[in-house]
Amino acid sequence: MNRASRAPLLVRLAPLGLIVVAEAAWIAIVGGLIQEYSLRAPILGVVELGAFVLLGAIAANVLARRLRPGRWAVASILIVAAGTLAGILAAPDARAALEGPGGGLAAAVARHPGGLVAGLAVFRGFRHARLPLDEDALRHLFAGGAVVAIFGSLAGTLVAEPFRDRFLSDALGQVVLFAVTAVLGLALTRQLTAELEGAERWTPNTSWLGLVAIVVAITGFAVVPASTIASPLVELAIYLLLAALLVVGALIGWTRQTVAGLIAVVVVFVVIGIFLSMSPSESADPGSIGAGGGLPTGGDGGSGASAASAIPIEVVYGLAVVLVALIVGALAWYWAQGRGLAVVAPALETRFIDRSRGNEPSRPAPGWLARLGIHLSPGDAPNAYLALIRELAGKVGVERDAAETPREHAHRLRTSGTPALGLELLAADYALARFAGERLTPREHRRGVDRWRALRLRLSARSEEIRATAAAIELEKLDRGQRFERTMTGAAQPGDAPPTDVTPHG
Amino acid sequence: MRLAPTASVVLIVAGALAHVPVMMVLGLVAGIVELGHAAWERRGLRGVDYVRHLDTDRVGWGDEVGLTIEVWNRTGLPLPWVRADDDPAPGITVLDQPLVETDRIGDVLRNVWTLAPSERVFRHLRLVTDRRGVFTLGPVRLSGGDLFARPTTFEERGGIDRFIVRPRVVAAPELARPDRWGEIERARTGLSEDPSRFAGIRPWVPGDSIRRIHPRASARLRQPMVKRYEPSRDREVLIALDIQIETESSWSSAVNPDEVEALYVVAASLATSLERGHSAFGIVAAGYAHSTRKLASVAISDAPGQAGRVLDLLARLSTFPSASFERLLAIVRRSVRPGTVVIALTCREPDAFLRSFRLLERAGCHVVVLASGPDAVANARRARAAGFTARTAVLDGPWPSAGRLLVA
Repeated sequence: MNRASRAPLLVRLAPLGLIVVAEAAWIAIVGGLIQEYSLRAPILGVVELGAFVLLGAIAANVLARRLRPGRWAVASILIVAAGTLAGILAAPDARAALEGPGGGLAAAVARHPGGLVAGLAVFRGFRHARLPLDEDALRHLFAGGAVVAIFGSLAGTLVAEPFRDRFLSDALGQVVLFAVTAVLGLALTRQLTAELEGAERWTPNTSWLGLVAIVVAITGFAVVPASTIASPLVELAIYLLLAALLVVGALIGWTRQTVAGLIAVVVVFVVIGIFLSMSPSESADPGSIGAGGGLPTGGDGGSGASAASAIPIEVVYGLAVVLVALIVGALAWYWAQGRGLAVVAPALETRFIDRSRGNEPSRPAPGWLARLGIHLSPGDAPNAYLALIRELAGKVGVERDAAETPREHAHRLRTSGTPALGLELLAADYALARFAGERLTPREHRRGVDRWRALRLRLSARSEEIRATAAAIELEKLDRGQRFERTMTGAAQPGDAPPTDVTPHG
Repeated sequence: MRLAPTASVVLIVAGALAHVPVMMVLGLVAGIVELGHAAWERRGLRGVDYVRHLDTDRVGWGDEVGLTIEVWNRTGLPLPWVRADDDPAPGITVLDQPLVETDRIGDVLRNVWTLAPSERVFRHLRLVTDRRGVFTLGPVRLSGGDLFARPTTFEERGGIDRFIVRPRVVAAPELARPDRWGEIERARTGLSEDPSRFAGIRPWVPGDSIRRIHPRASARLRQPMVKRYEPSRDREVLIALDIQIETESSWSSAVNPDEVEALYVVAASLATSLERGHSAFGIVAAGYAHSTRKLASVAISDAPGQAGRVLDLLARLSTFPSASFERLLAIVRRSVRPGTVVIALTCREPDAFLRSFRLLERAGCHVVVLASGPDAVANARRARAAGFTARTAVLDGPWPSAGRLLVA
């Protein structure tokens, strides 16, 4: 039985909407790349592909539950095929080629090859048919979509202008859309999944939702300008770093490892240079690459057909289509399998905002100077006490024990070799401010800081004394032990029988 | 080195060098996600307080224990989810919330919250157990989500809460104890009144002996009044519980746990009945009661709450014996006062213990064999044939649903 979220329907559908957009965005990059390579403008954008993804999700949600698994697998293949056909025919040129004399499906595909991705969009929609969405599927979407976007963009730079610029600008926008919607959709899905896990009543965590929405929105708006600004800076920094490394290497001498590292860096830069040099800078003749082509039309009599070809091209395409259909059917069947989850009744609970932590005295986190062991002079008596305790930490004999109160600690030190009342007075100041909420006068604060100044030296010295004494006692113990050991070992001679108490008994 | 931050840096650098803005954008987005992750990882769960409150630390079997779980986000960061996996002892069931099976620690009580900054939540649950015993809850494993609801930190917190589930108690008749001279408890009949302890006067009724008339009080009140004395009867009772069910081996693994539980229900019902009768009573058994001692006992007392102490001991007691029943009876013989009634509650044939019973009688104790279990009637008959007072004590059904204890 599926667990039903207790969240409102709109909240439950929000991740689906975001993920549909994310799916459409990365598929649009693929479609745009195919169109770019055939030197055509893209027809299907994010909106159109989003409709195909949504269609796939709805079809899977409705049909997968009503049909038997085998029939659903077959139906999914047909739905994907119909989606693919609809995507191809979305272009007027493709429709004209289909209806025109001597035309056919191959000609239509040749006019609009990017329409093939509509089938992919429908197919990806099958994956998001159930609510709540599968977190694993979304993680794979984020990773896979990012990889496709990166390699698609790299591949897109290899085509001539003006298609390259158009594709790259479209891809940039689609990538931003993809990243923003995928991150937000994944976050919402995770939160809804967690809600279902543990008897959580639906509680709108508006502060989290607002924060994550603002962060994602700012990221979405700022990331493109930031990338434009950061790109030359990073490039400059890398080159400067490389130059600095060369200088440092020359100064400290080259080793086998540093030479290998230098060669690796040079190889990386050479590869990047080759890649950049492959990008054509001038406009290409649209007819030179893809005019009328895009897909070979056949192996018998076509100009592109090879006489030595043993397998007809129709067979190759047929096998590819069958293989794709089998994969589509198998995955659609697999994704339609139910995930058995138990029903958890909402628990009775009380919620409220409790800011009573604000009553506690503020304890600022140690700054970077403190982390380096550099402590500035404390400003008041309580902080002077805390600073002193911090400095005494780890010092033998004067460190405050975890179970000791400030008063007990001060009393112990006064009665065990440090006959001064300063620490007790400082501890009293601290206790008054910390536990009694009393306000100390400026004079008391000044005296507290003065006591800290005197005590830190005095107690540190006392700790050194104790350490030296303890070391002496340990040495003496060790000396006694060695004497005792010599005595014992001297009594036993090689070849003597072992003592009776260590003799193994049968 | 973690993969995701490294990948974001690589994407930014590679995108800048290769002039591919898409890589830069993805690298920056991944970097922001990682920054959020780092901030929440550092501060998220550290500021979350998690406390369990049990309504009571001891209940009777079948009663519910209220559990309130308090979680308080003391930080200023909103937490999309906080998950708490409490480790419950086997046998605990949470009403309306099934336990979640995990790979690492088996079944856990899982609670998840979404918390705003400074939000404090009290969740109320109800626990029941399938048997008596000492049950623990904890430690808890806390995990939380970062800004983008990705799992960040995992933390185990050690506090363990315990509660005792006492054995079931059913209605039991008061055991008829012989009246005896010289004790302070009121006798069942007036035959055993102690004339040394004057208790007051009451009006004469036909049948009262003339020798009991109080002359001066009758003269003062102008009607015949008779004297009343404190009656007396046996006072101290010790239940000697024989934990072993099977005759053959004390470590037999084939013991039916329901039979042992039924024996404990009989003992608990008996203790409650004795307290209702204002007796001074105690219990002794050769079993482990969550300590290293081989003998579990509650000293004889008539103080208030004695039945509770006996029930607590029965809740803690193991289902297997730590020593033989004969040895237990020998210890009892050395420790109890003469005149104490020793109720030997056993499911086994009494033949093996007859010598111990005789020694107890010789020491001045009065032994009552209380036979329980499926062969109770036959065992009681054997004990009677040997000259001991013997009764049967059986439940009128399976122990979880029995309504009363039948003593015959």
